[in-house]
Amino acid sequence: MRSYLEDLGLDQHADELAIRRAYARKLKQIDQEKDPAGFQRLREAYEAALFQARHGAADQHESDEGPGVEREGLDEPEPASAGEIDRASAEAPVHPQAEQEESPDVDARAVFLQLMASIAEAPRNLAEVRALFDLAIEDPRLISVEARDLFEWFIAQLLSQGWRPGNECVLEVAIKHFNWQDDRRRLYRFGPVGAVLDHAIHEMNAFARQEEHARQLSLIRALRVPVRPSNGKLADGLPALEEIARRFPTLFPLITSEENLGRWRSWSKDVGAWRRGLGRSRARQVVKAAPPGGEKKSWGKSLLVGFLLMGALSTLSNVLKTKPSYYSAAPPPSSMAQGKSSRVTGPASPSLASNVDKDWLLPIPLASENLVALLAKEPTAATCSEVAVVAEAHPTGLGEEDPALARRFDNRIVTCAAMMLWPASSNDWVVRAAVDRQKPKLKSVR
Amino acid sequence: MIVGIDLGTTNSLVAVWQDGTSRLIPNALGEFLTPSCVSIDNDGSVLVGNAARERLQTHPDRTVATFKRFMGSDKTFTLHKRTYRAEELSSLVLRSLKADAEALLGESISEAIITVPAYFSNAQRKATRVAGQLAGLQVDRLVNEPTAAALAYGIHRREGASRFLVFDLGGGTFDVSVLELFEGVMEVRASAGDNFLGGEDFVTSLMELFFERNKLPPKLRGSGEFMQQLAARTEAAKRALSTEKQATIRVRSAKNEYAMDLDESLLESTCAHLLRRMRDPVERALRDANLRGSELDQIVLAGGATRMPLVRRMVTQMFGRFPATDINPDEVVALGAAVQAGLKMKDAALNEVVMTDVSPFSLGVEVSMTGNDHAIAAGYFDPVIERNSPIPISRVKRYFPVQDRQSHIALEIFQGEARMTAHNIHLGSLRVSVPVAPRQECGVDVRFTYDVNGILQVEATVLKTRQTFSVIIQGNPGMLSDAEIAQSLKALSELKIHPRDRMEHRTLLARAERLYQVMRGEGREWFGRQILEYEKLLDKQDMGAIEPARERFEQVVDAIERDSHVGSFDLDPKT
Repeated sequence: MRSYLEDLGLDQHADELAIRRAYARKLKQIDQEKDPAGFQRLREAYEAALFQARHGAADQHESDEGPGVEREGLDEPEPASAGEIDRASAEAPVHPQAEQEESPDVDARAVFLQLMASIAEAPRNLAEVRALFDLAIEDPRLISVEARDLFEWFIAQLLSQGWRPGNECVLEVAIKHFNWQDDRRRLYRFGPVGAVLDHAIHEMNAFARQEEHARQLSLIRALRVPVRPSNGKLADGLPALEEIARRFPTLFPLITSEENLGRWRSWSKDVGAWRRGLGRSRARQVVKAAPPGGEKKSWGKSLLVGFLLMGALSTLSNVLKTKPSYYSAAPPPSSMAQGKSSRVTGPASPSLASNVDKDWLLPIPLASENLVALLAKEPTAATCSEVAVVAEAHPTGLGEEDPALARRFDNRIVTCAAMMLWPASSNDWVVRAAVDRQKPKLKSVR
Repeated sequence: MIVGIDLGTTNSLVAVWQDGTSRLIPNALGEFLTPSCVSIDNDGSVLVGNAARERLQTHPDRTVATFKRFMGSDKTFTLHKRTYRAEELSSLVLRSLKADAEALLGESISEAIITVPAYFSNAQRKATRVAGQLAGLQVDRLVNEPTAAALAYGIHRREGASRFLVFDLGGGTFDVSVLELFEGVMEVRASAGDNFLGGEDFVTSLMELFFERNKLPPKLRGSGEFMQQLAARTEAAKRALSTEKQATIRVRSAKNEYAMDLDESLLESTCAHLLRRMRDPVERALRDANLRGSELDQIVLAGGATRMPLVRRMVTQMFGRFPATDINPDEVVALGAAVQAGLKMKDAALNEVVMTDVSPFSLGVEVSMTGNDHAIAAGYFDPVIERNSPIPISRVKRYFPVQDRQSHIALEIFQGEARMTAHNIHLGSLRVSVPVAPRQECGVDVRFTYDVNGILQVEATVLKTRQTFSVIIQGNPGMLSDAEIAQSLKALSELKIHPRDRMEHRTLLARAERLYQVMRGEGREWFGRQILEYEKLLDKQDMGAIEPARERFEQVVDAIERDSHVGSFDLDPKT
């Protein structure tokens, strides 16, 4: 039944080394120029057998990597969990060797956080964000290929997890810089995170083709600002916005948030019903007048479905096949894996943190078992909020009393921020301070 | 005997597989590197190599270089009344290399393996084959330059498994390939590159800076002599920086003398934009190969421009380790081409090695798609063969007409990576007639077949009627038809090639002429007399007298060359 293994003259338990040997042996018997079909058959059998050996085996016994040094690619059987990131950076100083290896990771993270911090400093326009982004990209710490790659991953992760102020600019700059528009494979290797961005870019193209897109953009811009618009604007704008959210379900949550829309909805309840009705009918007219592409409906639908299905399949297989171990597993955006209509929601709603009662949390005694216990927990939105409270109470770090704990604490702050779990209500400078405290260590690594 | 040829933008080399190893073949001057330069001499004969390069400065209207950049295009070069295409000029270089190999091996050569940048397009590959054909060489196989470099490195260590990244920065092209060698299989995992980035661009950037710093009038750009002199001096200074801390570019025009000091940091800041462009292909090749930098066993440098300490430093920083330099980066590609020639000849010492390559770009068709609101949008690119797939490869995808009762489908075939076909390269079209029926019943299977030589065949099968339509992609613009090739072959065969055995004298004279042009005063007069005497002696064809005279004359020329680099041009070589 495993015909590709049989093609290679192997049994079901063949390991990678045996598969490669068999492939090499058979390849030498084929004239690639004269027998292209034979080569392709062999190649397909080989790739299928390798895939089976790697992933089939990983399911059964996780730690078995197969003998020898033949492990190919980055596909570790289990992606590093968030906890592992934390542990790795926390342990790094203890093992100089490990620290060396971790250095692209540390560098990329530091540059990323610096960028985030400088964007968060003040409301930014596109040109400013682009300048900051370019500055980060030119950072000497990103000269290593691996560090750059990780930086791209951090940015992708940030963007896919839903809108935060400034993201709309980062999205535009990142698409251009990383060439996501044209080099789609670059996104696919990021698994579900990449699939969200890829789909968003697709919707973006459709969005830009609409005649009305300038007006719609200004509506979205208004939506981001937490200021109540005039009644007229609410009545006109909300139905149009609802329509955009419906038609661009992946893009919308990346450039503005559901909460923002919810805010407008609740404001709009105050507006007279007759006015709302007027706005709705006008919005429908607008949409009818300018369909994207402007041609007949219902053409080539199955082509699209086929394409999407393929996309979903290749995404899935990409997740299986190519997710590098150092890309920590991001919580997959809710419905993406199921295919077409996707609605991305951020895994941790930033507004949650503002509900935490700080007074109640403050009396965590420093260096007590409480803090140790807190750090032992996985970094989640809840534990990161607690960390943030302690961090704000100790803006210069935990001091020299227990350097190991202080370091672990700083690492956790950085990890929380890198995972986008840092509460929005907390000051970003706390994170920056933690990054700065790590800096001398970073320099000594180089 | 099959030879391996590295047909480069700046220099070309030829090598042969002999006695279980690659061997470089020297040209008439005894050098391995033959500049890819062609010049028409005063008597109408063709000069190739060093002699031609010397004449770039003295006879810019009769001399041409860096024409490889225009392979596969319709650009022509005018040399002394006649126009040439890039493949014709390349064929003259190939002919010269062929003569060198024949002189050394004492047999006629009719077949060659030629290397091309991995990122060369179909049209550029085809043009390279035509160049071989025009030079009387059968070119069955083109090998990608980075693959050749890895072969040169890998051939003597085929026992273990290793992963290479080849960083190939030539005169005009930049290529990155990730290769893996295991069990005697040299597998290309991924290739990426930039066809318009190379050592020549560093020179161009420095020349721009020279103009700016010296506030030179723009009209000087029109002076071929001045520009060639500046290019040569800039190139020399750039090379000098590989060993020295500082160098000076010193050039003279009719009235003035200009100079610019150059050091490493100035070179770095001037060429920062070029260094930045190198990152992208490296990152992309690694991504496509699904490898991290730390998983590579060796970083291999190829191409003369990788000698620049600047480039080496960047490579070291990008990978956090030093690149391998055991083989001269100028020669590594030619040595690998000879290995491939040995493989082709089924040499016994090599029968344990096979190679697989990849298609460096995606190939696909234009499709229409619908958005969330069912409106249709055309102009999307749908790859059938994804980039960096092992070749030969054949892939099928099924497509449907956009509308019911469509009478035919126009398949537009593209190469590239962009989402929209508008940003990809159009390769050809195929008109497929479909039965008049509802669209769901009119599926068409489109098969793309891409062979080891980069020839693409597209075949469409209508499911309902089993009717097939097919097209072989080769008729790109910028390519010669068979009739045109025959015509060009005839025209080229009428050209007089400068005799090989007199090349050494001719080169020395060309060099002397170049130096004479920029000298001044008494020294110039004296040197002019020396040149004349030497020419007279050559005309007498008295072999006994020529050799000692040549040696003497060469010493004089060397001395003048040294002086001209050190400082003033007014130095009298006698003192």
